[in-house]
Amino acid sequence: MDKSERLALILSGLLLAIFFGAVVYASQARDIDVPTCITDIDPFLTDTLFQTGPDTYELQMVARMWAFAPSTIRLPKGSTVNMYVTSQDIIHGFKVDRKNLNLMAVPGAINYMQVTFDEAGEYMFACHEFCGAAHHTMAGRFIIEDDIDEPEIVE
Amino acid sequence: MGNENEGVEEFKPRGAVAFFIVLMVFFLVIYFAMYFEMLSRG
Repeated sequence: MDKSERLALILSGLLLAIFFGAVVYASQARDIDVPTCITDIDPFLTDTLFQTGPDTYELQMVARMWAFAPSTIRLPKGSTVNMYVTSQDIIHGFKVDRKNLNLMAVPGAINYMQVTFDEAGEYMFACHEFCGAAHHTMAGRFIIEDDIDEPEIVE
Repeated sequence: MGNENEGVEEFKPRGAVAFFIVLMVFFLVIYFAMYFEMLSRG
């Protein structure tokens, strides 16, 4: 084999190993996961927010044309939220600004992902899958505050 | 008869190697720019 070919092969293999190692590090050491699609149970029909442990909450969110329910959620800083999202009608998207949370809201299925809000502030979320005439109005927000103890659905 | 390669410089694809290394650095920069953005979002 030519020396240059060998160099190209070694560098390419090294680059792939670096990329693969970075993915493994993110998933194992940093606990960053991909969304999970749950299709074997019937989706919930109403939205719910409840506490499942210290600083841990479960939020069941329902998307429909053209709103999220709930659309405004107030949570204490440091909350970990297990997000379950479904849709009542057509396919919607669910993307939270400044967080690694990007789900599809699919009728007949539930999409799950976990998110932790370490910093106080407002985190907007919006539908990112075009869903009709008022798609651009389909949005909401998480309000993360330092000085509250109880979560609250505002709207 | 003399050797046919006598006096012929051995070819080294310096340009191709340089381009390949630049390409790999470019991939690394693009990949890890998005990767660290993802890590920072938690």
